[in-house]
Amino acid sequence: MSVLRNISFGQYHPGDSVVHRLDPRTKLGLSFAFIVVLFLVKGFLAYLWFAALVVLIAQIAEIPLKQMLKGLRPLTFIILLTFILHAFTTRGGVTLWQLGFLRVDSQGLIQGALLVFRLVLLVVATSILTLTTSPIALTDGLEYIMRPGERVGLPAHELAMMMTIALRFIPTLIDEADKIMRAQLARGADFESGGLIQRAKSLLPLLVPLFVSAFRRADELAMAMEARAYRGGKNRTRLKALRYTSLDAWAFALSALAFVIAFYLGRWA
Amino acid sequence: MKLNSRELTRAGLFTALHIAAAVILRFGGEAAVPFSLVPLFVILAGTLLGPQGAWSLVLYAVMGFLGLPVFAQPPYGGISYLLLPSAGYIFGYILAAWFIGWVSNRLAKLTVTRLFLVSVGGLVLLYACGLPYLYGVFRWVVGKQLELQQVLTFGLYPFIGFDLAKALVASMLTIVIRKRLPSLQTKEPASGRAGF
Repeated sequence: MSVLRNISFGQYHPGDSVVHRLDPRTKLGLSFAFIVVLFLVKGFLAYLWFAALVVLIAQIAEIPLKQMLKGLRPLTFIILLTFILHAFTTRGGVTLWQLGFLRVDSQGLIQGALLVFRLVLLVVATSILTLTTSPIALTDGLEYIMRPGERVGLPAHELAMMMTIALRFIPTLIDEADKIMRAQLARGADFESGGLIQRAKSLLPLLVPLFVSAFRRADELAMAMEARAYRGGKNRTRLKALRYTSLDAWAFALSALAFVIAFYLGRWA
Repeated sequence: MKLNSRELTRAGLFTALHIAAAVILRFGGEAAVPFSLVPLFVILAGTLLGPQGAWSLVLYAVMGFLGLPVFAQPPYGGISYLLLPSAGYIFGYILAAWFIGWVSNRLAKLTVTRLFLVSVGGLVLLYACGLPYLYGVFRWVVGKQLELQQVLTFGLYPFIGFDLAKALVASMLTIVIRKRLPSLQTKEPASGRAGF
């Protein structure tokens, strides 16, 4: 289980580019807007335009394209399935190939390619957000964005605080699980053989201490927070306050322009 | 809905546990754990934290869909995960944990049998979210209409046996863990005072 020690959590690609320095709220908002626009616009020209922009942004942010495309590999199956199903089921245009009841029309190939293109853009473009924003900055941005939800009972600040705590404790808990596992192995526990029931049973001496220690950490943390007069989001100041800069204004303006162009290209095609 | 600081830290820690459970499975842990541990932790979030445990899974979902790689299956995170047939279970987790927590908070006495029955109720809700979602993804994303039998073959039969076993393990774990933690035995809403 020594693999557990070398887990680097998150995909954040550190840097100091213009994209990295944008306010996380800007990046969250624009990512969301992009998803909406992507589903409204259809056509190869518009998608090519988006693809060019994604490559450009990756260049500016100094993210290797290879790393961005890595996110696609797990989706290979669904991408292939989408393409094949559309290729075989969409009718229209010239029949290119026929074997018994199987038939591929040119319209089917176009439709399949278009949907695959959209899927790829969706994955690659949204990965810019997590590649250029540290999880903590993401948390801060999220808290601001959820804040309107507080009126209807969404605990925006609490969720952001929980996210910070979770991010902080993931490596600790993984380390701890590793340590407990070694301790039990040293006492002769056997995690890797036996039938299913045997293995499930062997998890008990691992999980009980893990949960007990998680509770202990949580309660100690709560006590420490209250000892420092923590009382939630109201009037709380922060070390790194989020501030919009002219950079963000530029990002919004340029994105709006890019979206308008995409709509234009989509209609024209 | 307001959470006090203890509920907040506990839910946060549970989110970390869910993520750890998903991540351990991903990094070569398969030799040790041949199935996903997350449903087990979902049940425990309900039985140990009450309905507040559902927040730990709301957060798990939010973090995942934002793009942090927290889910057990590829692509591990990101909005594109919504396009996968199994994404409905993520929402099912929230509902299941809430239900299990709500009911088990109202039980006068916790026994393994009762907790197991409550957990099975939670699993029903989990599949009630997961299976229609699976159908929907095949119908509208992939463009293929599945028969009920096929939906069950993809989404229910491979998992239900394991999940029932997990429900049983979770019920037993709940009793053992609660015994170790005095702060969980009293029903008073947690104030800042930790019970250690």
